[in-house]
Amino acid sequence: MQKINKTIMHVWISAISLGAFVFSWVVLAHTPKPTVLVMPEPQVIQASVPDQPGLEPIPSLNNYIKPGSSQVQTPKRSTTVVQPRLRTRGS
Amino acid sequence: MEFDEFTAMNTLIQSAAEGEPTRLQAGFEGVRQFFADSERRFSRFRQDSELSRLNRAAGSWFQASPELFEVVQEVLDLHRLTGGLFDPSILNALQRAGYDRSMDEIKALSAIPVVEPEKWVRPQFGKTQLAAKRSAICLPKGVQIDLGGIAKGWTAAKAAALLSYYSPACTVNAGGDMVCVGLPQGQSAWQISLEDPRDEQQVLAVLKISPGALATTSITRRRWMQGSQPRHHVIDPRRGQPVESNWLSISVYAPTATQAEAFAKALLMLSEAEILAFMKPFHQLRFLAVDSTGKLWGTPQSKEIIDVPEYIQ
Repeated sequence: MQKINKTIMHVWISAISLGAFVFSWVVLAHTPKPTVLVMPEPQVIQASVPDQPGLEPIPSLNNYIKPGSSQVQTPKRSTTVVQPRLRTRGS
Repeated sequence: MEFDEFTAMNTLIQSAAEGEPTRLQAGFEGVRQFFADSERRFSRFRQDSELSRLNRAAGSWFQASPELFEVVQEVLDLHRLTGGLFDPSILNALQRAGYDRSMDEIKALSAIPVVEPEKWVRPQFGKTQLAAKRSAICLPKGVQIDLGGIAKGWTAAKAAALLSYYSPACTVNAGGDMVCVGLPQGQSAWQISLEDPRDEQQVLAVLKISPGALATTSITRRRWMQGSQPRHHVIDPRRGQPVESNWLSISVYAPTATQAEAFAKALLMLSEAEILAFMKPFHQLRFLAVDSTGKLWGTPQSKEIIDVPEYIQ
């Protein structure tokens, strides 16, 4: 008796599962399809890509001193640079 | 402003301070004494120095003085902070490159013998252990350290602190490692000449420095020939060879002398783009790089430490 009940249960569960699967298939096949999202084509960037950042030039006394002299170039007068006595140099 | 100059730690030491001259003499004397003590402690050329004893004890625990312990602790922190670019465990490489005696002795020699090339195995300085409670250091076996520049910077900082007992505005400069305390009367900054690494008679720029530290490292000053190879004292710890640098010198302004020294050394090993990336997290630091043509390079922040030249008629 117990064996018969077990067999009936198996058949019942299998039938229900199969029915559910077929039903779902049919339902899904008839539902409206989702809108396909169209990804835009990657655009070619026309603007020039900036170079990798680098260090900036820093104005030195050479910007003011004539080569080979200690004279300073200023618009109207020639003068000398006051150089502090304290110095930093490579160790 | 009163000045004092002397030679210690194989370099020129300059002290300057404002105040009453006779009182300052005691301060200057204290600075001289402190440098003499530091030289005895940190010299790698003296077999009896504490540093030499520490190197000989590599692989086991060494009972260090508070001074040596403090320097090694700072060095270890800076080694980690610079991603290993600052590395004092290049002593063997430095000796192989010919810097195995003082610079005065090297200059007196006509030629430094060439050493057979050897595969560079980078010492593991980062694995150094410290025991703060008992002031003990354990260098990994085989690791030999040189505290040259960093010990000068540390000594300059301590000496400047000592001098500040005698003067509200003073500075100590140990061969490029400079520490400024207070400000000269009526001034908003210390004015310091940045020497041209190609010609020590020339000045590239006048820097304006707030209280803090300025260090300059150059590959043009401590140079020698080993066979036909030109050599200098800044070793790239990644290669175990003198740095092949884009720069002749790097100057760094930082809150402390050891930071300034370590970062100046580290930046010397980097290219332009690498410097920018490397310096990004370190907002407090300012740097100036001098290229082989004597041009100065930096960031917009670097201009903050450049003084507009003063002119006299």
